[in-house]
Amino acid sequence: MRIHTDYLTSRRWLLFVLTGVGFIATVIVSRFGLIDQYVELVAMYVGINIILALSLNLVNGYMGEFSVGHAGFMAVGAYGASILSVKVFSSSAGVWVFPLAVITGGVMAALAAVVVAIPSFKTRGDYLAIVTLSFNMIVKSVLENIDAVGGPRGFLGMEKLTTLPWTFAWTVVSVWAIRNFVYSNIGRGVLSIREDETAGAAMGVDTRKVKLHAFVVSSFFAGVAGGLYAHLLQFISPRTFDIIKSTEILIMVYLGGVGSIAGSITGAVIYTVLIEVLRVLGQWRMVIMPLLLVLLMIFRPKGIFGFMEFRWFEPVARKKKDEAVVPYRAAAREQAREQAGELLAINGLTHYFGGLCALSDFNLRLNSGQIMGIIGPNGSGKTTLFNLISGYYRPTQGSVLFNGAEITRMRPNEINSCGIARTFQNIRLFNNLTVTDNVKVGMFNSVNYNAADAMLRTRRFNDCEGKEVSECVRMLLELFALDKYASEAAKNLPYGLKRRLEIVRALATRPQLLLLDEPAAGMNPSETGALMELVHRIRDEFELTIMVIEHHMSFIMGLCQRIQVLDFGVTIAAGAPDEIKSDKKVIEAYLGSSGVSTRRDK
Amino acid sequence: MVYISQQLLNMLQLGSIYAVIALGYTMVYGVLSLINFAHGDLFMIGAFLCFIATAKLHLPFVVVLVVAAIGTAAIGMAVERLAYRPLRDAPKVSAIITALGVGVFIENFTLALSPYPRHVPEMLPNVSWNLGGLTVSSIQGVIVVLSVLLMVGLDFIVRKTRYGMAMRALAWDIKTLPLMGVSVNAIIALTFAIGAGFGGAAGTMYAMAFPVIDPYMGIMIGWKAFIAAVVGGIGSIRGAMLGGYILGAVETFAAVALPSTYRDFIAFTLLLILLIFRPNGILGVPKTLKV
Amino acid sequence: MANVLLSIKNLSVSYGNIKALRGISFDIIEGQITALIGANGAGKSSLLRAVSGMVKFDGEINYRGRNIKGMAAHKIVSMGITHVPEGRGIFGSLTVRENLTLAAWLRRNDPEGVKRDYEHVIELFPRLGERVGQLSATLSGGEQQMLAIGRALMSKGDLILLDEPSMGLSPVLADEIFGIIDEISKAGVTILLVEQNAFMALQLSHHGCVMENGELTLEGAAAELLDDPRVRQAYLGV
Repeated sequence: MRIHTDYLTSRRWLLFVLTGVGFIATVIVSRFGLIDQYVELVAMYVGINIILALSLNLVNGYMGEFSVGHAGFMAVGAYGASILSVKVFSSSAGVWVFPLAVITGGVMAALAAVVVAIPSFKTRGDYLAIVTLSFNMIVKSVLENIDAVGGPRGFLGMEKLTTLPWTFAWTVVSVWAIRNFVYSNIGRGVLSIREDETAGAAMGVDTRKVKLHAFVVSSFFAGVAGGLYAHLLQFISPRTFDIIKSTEILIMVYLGGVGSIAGSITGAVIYTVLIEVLRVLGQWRMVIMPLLLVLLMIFRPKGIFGFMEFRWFEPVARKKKDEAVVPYRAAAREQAREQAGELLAINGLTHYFGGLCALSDFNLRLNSGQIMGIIGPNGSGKTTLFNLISGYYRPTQGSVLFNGAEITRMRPNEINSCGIARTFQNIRLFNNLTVTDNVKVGMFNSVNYNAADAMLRTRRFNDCEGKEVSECVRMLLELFALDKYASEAAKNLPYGLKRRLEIVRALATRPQLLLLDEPAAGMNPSETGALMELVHRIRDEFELTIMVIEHHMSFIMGLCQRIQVLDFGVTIAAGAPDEIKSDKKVIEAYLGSSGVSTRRDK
Repeated sequence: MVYISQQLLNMLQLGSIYAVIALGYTMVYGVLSLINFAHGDLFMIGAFLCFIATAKLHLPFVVVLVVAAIGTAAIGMAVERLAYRPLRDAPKVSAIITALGVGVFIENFTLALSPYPRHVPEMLPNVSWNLGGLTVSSIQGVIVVLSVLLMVGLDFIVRKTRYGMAMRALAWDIKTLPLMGVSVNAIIALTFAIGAGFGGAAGTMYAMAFPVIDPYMGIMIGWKAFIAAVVGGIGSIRGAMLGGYILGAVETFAAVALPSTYRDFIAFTLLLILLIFRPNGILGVPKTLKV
Repeated sequence: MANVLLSIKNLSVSYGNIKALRGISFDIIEGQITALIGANGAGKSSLLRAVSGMVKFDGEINYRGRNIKGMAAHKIVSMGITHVPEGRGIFGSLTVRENLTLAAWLRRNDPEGVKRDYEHVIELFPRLGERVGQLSATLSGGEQQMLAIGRALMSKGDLILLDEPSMGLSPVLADEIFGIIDEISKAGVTILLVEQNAFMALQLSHHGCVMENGELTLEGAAAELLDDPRVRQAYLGV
């Protein structure tokens, strides 16, 4: 959701002017001591807290994880920076010591983030929360046991190098870089993990890489904040960075609202200022503060700006129109030409859930350009088959060959990169992302810039985002008549269009093989007919091979050249539609005798 | 040998306290999937109620225990009613943040009323027996026996009674439960009452073993008990007990082998390692990926 | 003797900005099966949810002449309305026996009756009888559907709302389930049946309602709807 401030949007240059003026103002103010020292101190706290809140927001808000130990990273940064400025360089080594120290602190925190990122590959939610919490505790405990940095007594000797202009500059840089990170290819990967990690992987998003990036970037800036904090207070101790500090950062993030830069800034400002203002209450301050938080959560559970963004913080798409881009379909064709006759070969694929055999000795040969149907009663192993092909389950036995290469034990995103895309039985779109962004996630592996390009907004980034990505998405949306809904959130689409968008998103990954899991579920006969035409069309235009699971017999019979029938995980028949229709075993297990035995007499 | 046995006893005592707090965590989590971060502070309230009942009202031990448990249960129900119920349909994380807020509120409210640490007088005459060089105190005995009774009782309630059945059903599918004619509000209130009541009982047990109490005592012990619940497999009653004893053992023996400052380090590192190999805890059941 | 059991008047349901139901009115006659058919997203499940108190609604729902607006879901059950939700709503962590016992939650004072009904359900679904001690999550789709219907019988409501009982079942199993529904109806229970399988639902029912985009577009005797060209074209695929 956006806050519409068109007046301000059209005057984006104001943002740059304000930033410049702001920086000059901080220089003047601090140089000539124009404001009260206490006010200046609070202003610096505000800046540091903005960095902390925003960096945590990246993980908790944009990625949808629940990290509760952010102060641990801050601690690593604070100690790292302090060691450099106190122990490595003498105090008068030069003006470059301070930025170098802060960056070193950030880098050390970023390295520490790996400890948290790796468990996050496998676990999420509450368990990841424990991992981050433990990390926080471990950092504190380790610091308490290192005498060189003062142990539990704390670390002294830093000069007061953090000034108002430095804080301002670091805050602006942090906001800018994190914003750039979020609004980029990898940022869309981060959002896809929040919305639906499973679907993200199916679209080729390397979730491990994305998580690692997000944790590293988030921790880097937490470390930067720690470095600034240490050189502001001139004294740090392990207790400074305990779980209470982490809680404070959490409160700022959720007070302002997750998934929003404006939210983090607001949350940090309000929290920092309020905690100072409420000092008059004495010890009742910390009684009132949490009470306010609880009330806010009850009346506004998403926080002040939850999932809403101030236009100024959203980058403007830079359109490049000078060169023609390679149209999607031409690229697809080129790929298609390489295909040999046999695209997919499955040999003896078997899968057990516990002691239950979901799929047993499944064999299949699929040639390019074919449309193949899989039918059978529910629980007969159809979706299991798809999950095995697309890498969600590891088979107990057997192999899957795609283009002659074994893909059996690859992860879902790797299999997608090989050229297999899928849809899901129960529609798994990224509900809160726009239609455009849903499709863009599908292009995750089509971009040629990295996270650094994105954060620094390099030429490579602008070229790729402005041309290839946006052109390709526009073309796909137009082709499937979704362009009207381009900036609509996916969850607001009507049912039929959701199904269509899911197919378009899969096409954006440039597959050779498309797996459709009950695409006509919940459609009436006329809608089903339209879908059949669509499937035919994409097969021809995108030179695809298609496997489809469906219960609608008219759909399957009208679309597929070959059909394979499963029952209790066993293939009971395979052949052309007409053969299947008259197969005794199929009629018995699946189709049933026609009609109902209980017609009512009236 | 005697020294090790003595440490084993210490471990049992500490583990029992962790286990009973962890039971409260796991109870609420198991039913509602909500990490009740205020639970550690409810434990603290239990200890303070115990202080009031003992030092001010001079009640006998059994009555103290009941007063602390019921008083804390009542506060737990009030917290659920006022802070969590309005958020039942909100994103889960809003409820967790609220829980954090409630915890901070309880701590500081208590602090404002009682700024200094309190000393809880002896509730039971402390008798020690010497068993072949091994000293067993009556307090240790009471704590261990009480924790086992509480665990067995809770296990019985959850597995065998109709209310326990409703709690398990609620955990599986909160939307369908009312269609069986069951009041979801009542079952959740009961869950919180039991969870908080366990916190109150644990507060009393703690005050028996370590009689100096303060308003912030619930933070660290609460987090640790939470970790115990996670190690065992959160949502699992037997897991919470197991996790409590494991944590008690790790802390006791880490303190024996290394300087006490390493205690947290060892405990949390072990936890991390365990979670990497068993991401769902020891007795936790992994959730199957639904595609 | 047409005795109106449930009367719905001008019923509307919204989720945020999305209107799921827009002013629906119809009556359900005691002892009959009423079929509710329509495409995915037409609002059929929302209607059942409104009746059983799972969602808030505008308008009026009268059960035995009493307006149930604003009543909590578990109170509505105590009036005699039983809802078998979409996806069956089985408590997978409970055994089959516990699922059935739980459904009789409100019948605390009638242990004899509960026991009788329990035996009746086991008789009706022998396959459940073989699995009473098993966790219900391990049941197959068909068995879960049987359990869901069995639970409805344990609640002993006068009106059972069935949401897509044939969903995900093979044609053979769906036949069996429809047979059971017919049996339950013959025992005097009133049924509101939501189905994707319009053909089977209308064959089984006395009365039928067709919904589109949250509105009631067609209503009449089930046999007439089966022959209606509009219904045949859109929902029967002929």
